Amino acid sequence: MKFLLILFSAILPLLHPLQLNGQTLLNGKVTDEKGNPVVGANIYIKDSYDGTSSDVNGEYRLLTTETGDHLLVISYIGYETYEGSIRLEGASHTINIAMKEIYNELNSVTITAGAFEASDERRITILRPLDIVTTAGAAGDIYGALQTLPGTQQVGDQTGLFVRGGDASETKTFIDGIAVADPYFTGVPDIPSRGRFSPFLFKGTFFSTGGYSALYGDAMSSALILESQDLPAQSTTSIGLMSVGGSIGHSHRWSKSSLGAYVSYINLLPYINLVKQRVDWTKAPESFNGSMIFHRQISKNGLLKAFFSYSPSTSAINYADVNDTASVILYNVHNRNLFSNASYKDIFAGKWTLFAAMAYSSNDDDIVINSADSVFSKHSLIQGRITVSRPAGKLSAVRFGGEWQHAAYTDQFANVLYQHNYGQHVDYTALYAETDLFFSPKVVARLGGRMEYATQIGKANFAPRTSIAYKTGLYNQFSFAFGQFYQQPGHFFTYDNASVNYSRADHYLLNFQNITDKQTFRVEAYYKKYSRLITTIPDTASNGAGYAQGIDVFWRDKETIRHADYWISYSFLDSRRQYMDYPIETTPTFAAKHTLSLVYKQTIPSLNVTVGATYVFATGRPYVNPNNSPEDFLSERTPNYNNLSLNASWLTAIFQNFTVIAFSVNNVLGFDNIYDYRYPADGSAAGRLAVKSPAIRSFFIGVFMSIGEDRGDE
Amino acid sequence: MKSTILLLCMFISVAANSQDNKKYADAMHRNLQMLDTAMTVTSFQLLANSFERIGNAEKDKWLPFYYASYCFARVSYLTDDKSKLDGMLDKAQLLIDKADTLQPSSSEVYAVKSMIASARIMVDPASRGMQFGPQAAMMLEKAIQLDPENPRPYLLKGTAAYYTPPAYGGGKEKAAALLEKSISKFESFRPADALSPDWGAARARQMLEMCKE
Repeated sequence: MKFLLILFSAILPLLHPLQLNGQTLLNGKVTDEKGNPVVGANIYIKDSYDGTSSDVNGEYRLLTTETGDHLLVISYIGYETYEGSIRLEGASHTINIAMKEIYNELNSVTITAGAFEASDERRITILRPLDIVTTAGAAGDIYGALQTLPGTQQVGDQTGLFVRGGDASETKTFIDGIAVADPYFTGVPDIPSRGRFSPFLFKGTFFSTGGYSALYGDAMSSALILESQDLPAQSTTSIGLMSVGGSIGHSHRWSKSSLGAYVSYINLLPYINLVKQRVDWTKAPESFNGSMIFHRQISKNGLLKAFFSYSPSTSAINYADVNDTASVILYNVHNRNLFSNASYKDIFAGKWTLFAAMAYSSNDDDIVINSADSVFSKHSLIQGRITVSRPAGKLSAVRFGGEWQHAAYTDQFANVLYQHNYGQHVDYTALYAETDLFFSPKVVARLGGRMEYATQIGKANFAPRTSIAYKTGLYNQFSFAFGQFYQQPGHFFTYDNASVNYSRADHYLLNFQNITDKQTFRVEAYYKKYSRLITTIPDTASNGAGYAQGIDVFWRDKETIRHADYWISYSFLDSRRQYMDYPIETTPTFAAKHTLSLVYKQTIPSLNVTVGATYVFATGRPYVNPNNSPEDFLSERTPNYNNLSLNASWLTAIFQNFTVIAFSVNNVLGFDNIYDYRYPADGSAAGRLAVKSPAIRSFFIGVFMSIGEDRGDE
Repeated sequence: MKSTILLLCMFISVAANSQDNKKYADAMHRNLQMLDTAMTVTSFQLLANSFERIGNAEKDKWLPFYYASYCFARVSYLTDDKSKLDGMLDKAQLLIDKADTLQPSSSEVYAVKSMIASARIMVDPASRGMQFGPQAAMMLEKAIQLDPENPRPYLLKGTAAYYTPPAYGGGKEKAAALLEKSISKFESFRPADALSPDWGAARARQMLEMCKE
């Protein structure tokens, strides 16, 4: 009997193909949750060859010879696989399935209030890293490109990003979680300086114009969060020749690590001799930069990055003396800047992500005015940060950690009459925690908080940060954000004064965006309330206050015009504040009511050429007229600002090496923009000087060659 | 008696086994015949599904996963909606990784891996070229290193050169040289068995014609 059973069960599978009448017909329709047909879904009996695909109507017909209890599987890319048990016994079955879309970070709601993200990651973002280097007028400067986004102001005579009624010090730059104390070159007054760091160093740029995460602090208005490149794919040598200097670099890739070394030398002397300048350079800007980047893959997910950069620079300029037309004021600056950081990121026990970073930076400025007054500043900063995060459920996550900074400042002011030395050490500690809670793939809330303590103030603060985003359609969503943002007073205000407090801004943002990979529409309304701003009259104190409110609109379109990409930014800004030496609450010098940017890029594939144009318009900004009564302080406006910049880049090969030849001209139409007025001591309007850019137009030409590792081409 | 039962059982299982093999070979043959003439998204999608079903049922054979991945890669080249490419290519990658585990160090597997990396570039050429271009090239070098006589890596190299402007180290001349090399290798290439990869000879000749236009 037992033998018969064994025999029977062994023979049974052989009999299957012969059971012509034992076929079962399965049919039905595969749809998504909304009832739209799913075309090309794979429908099959598990562990058998029997299966089929759904047709253009989502319908399927599956004839199977299998019998008994089986699993029916229906799978399609991007949807949860359906598995259902089924008894096959000759009768036909109709099985209709509504498949559930798989939600992941790519198609779920994201926090977008305040955020402009440029990233190589798969998520559709507003900008790509390459957009930064190909924007006309930006001249390859990260900060220049960000000034074409809504929320930023055109302040042509000062360095830095002025965001939504905030001054430049209220925007902080972070590289791999580390605050950058001096992100810009030290320049001379009235001429804005570029950012120190090349956009090519970064794979991700996250520019927040407000309401940003609790991970970042000590910035009242805005945070620029840069993420450096990972291990490079291959060894490369790069050579750059520019109208203002040259650079050479090599990065070598081993199987698990890479080391890169770069040097560059910039000297504007030949350029200044060629292009007529409206200012009198006595020493053309000259700078050197040496940097090294090291990467090492420690484990499957563990990556160590280390970056070191050192750059000295000098420049000197003769300013017209507004009080004495016969004489000039010589301003001479010598800067040495060092920036180094190391970071490590790894995943432990499958879900805990650890991020740790350490950094040291120092900045020395030696400024001599008319060989008589001198300022010697030496600032250094040691800092560390640890963040731990883990997923909490399918999409939700928690993050927490802390950062610590130790800053040492010395400033020496001297002239023939006196010498004054200041020195100060500041320890700043912050703890933060944040969670992204997904109530569904369409609704997310980010709840976070940040506690800070700074020794020069001797007080702690707590800053709650919240955002809510609701996905209203496949491509669109609403976001709301509220947050409190504190900032330490500039170190200069705390040398003699222990009573100043953190400045504070409360942000309220409401954002709508519709974003596809071809088109982006984004509109954001905001209200910011400033309190405890630093005031310097009658004495230094935290008595200032103010507000900023406005609307930012952004439209980007890569679809309508063939091979073209353009974006339009518009900002309306209404801001008033009492701070510094302002006698009343009024619109600050760095706030223009209307700002409009148009960026256009056209690719000509047959020639490998990209041409671009950027036009910027801004209404006039307030300036100080000393003849006005205190009630009329900053009541007058400079003329409107206009600028049209053009650029072109040509991709070609020189000795078979990938080469980019780039050309750009800034202010091609020669608009004679006036940024500010400077009045003589007697207040005469006739004697006032208009502050303008150092040259009416500026030109740039550069050749950048990349020599890849020999790939053994035949 | 016992030994008779044992013998009988052995005979039956061998018979069952060869029956299974025949079923596998038949199913694969049917699909490979269709693959020869496949031109559209729909036909590649149907074939990808079918190969994947065979792979899932067989579990220890690398060829069904290899062909399923190859079909998804071909689908991605024919798809206009770029937002769908990454999902498709993730699937192709998953399948080729399965094939790689079952048949390690296969030149054919690396050739398909290179096709997947190349397809990733199409999602956003400007920003992805730097990342996936070298990766695709590396996979092809590996494929050639694993089997210098495999004509397909040279076909893929030639195709890449054809679509790459001379400025980036491509061009028709370069493509033609690689395609000629591929064609000469196709002439001497004999697949390991009837089911092993044997695609590309016609495509190589067609591409060479395009180079000479």
